[in-house]
Amino acid sequence: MEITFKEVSYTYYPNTPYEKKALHNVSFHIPSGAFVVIVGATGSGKSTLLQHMNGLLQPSSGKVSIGDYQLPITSKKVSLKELRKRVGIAFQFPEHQLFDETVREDILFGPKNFGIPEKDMEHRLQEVIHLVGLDEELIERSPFELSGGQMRKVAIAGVLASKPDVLVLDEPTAGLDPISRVEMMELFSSLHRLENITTILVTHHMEDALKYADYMIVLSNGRIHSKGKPVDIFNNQDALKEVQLLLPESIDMFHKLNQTFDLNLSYRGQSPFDLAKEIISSLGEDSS
Amino acid sequence: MKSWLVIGQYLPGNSFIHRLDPRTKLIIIFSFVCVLFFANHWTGYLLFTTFTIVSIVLSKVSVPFLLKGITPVWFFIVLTFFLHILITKEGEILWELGWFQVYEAGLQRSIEISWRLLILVVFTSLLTLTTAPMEITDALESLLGPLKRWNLPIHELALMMSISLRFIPTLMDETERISKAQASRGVDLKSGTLKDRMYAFIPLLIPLFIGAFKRAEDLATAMEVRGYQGGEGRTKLRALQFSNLDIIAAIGYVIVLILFIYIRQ
Repeated sequence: MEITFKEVSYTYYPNTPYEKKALHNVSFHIPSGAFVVIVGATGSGKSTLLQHMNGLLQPSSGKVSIGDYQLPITSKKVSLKELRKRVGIAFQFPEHQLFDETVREDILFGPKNFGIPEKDMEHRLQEVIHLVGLDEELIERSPFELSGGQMRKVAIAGVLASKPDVLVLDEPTAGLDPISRVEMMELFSSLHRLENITTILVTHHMEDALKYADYMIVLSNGRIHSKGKPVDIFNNQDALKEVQLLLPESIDMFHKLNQTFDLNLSYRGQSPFDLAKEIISSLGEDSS
Repeated sequence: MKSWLVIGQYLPGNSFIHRLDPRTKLIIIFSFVCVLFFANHWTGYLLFTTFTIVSIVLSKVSVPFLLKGITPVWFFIVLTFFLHILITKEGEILWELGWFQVYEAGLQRSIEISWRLLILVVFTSLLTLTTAPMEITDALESLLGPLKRWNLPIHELALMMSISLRFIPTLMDETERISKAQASRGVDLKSGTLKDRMYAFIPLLIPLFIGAFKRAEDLATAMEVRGYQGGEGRTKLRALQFSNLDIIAAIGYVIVLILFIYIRQ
């Protein structure tokens, strides 16, 4: 499903002394099947933005369209449930949403609410626990007996079990150990490639942004600071500093080597491996 | 945050009322609420209404915001009004419709009582609007301090009160977060039968309780780590101090009381 924001603004608690404008005239377009990374400092409006994608929030002004859905919803006939079935959101620390007696029940909670037929349930359960890499023995246990990392996997499995067309992820790897982090990012990446799921990821890890994003949106104080391909975003170092973000380590290192040895190389989106090769070969030219 | 939560929610400011010592405010309001029930003549009501209006003006709280804040109480005020009209059967009949009769005394009494209730609610919500919850707790602890002599755990009670107040916004945020997460998984709190809707609260309540217990444990650890050992010999970061403003407020209030006693005679 494609997602279009058109001059969207959102104000919390309008007409009270607590009024706070969280989004100002935000416009962008996410084509179906894209992998988009949204970055921005804390409080820049990322979470507010995400909550528009399945109608948890409705714009104070402007328009949001998600596939055939239009927000704000003016007609009462439109069911948000159908939209929420197609757009899965995993919030920060999704393990806080676990509540059911067993892992199985909790994972199938979403599909049950969305009216998936009983006969498909077992199949879906098996599918998602293998996707996220959960041990089959765990499914009859209480989710509260599990470790933090396992709970996270259960929660993510619960979102995937509804088979959304769009997956919205708010810092899904925060607080995970390094290996689980990589595994989880690889899972989202392969889901995106194989099932053609439109993926929207909020992250503070610039490495992840560089590695996975087709397209990046940089938010700052509720406005779009810049948007474009990761290469273009990361080539504008000064603009990134303005919004409290750093370059990915590989690019940062590349720039530093470039400066120290006066190499005059440019970054055009090469992989770290290719960058290394370029550096070596131009260092070789210098010494010869 | 829902609009009804605005009832008496603290509004930071720097007005005369804001700068009063919370103890002064507590004493004045507590005694005012008692004195209010001795009003028996319209002049008394006029006096108290004036006092309330002056307080509102001095607090610089916007009147529409204040009135919006007491929305849930309107129901009780209206209910009181009609109960008194129905019950009191004295004086002349002013108006009649079948078995329903409005008596002169009934009308007078119902206006008086509901007006009294309105003043009471407005005045007390003025306290919470202009005083941070922590200040109220400190003031209570200080005013109830003498009771420690009879081994009443005043400090502990005040601590419990301030911790609960401190965590209300946190729990509200958490409730909102979890209900959004469950709404994304297809929970619908707004439609369906009553039974459906009650069941829909389970996925909200369980994570909320688990979170609250965890947080309580973390807080206890954090307090112990920083050497908390109860109230014995503990000093305050913001010690309460009466100032000239409190004297002015006290004088103003005493003048109102004297006027009231004069009116009653």
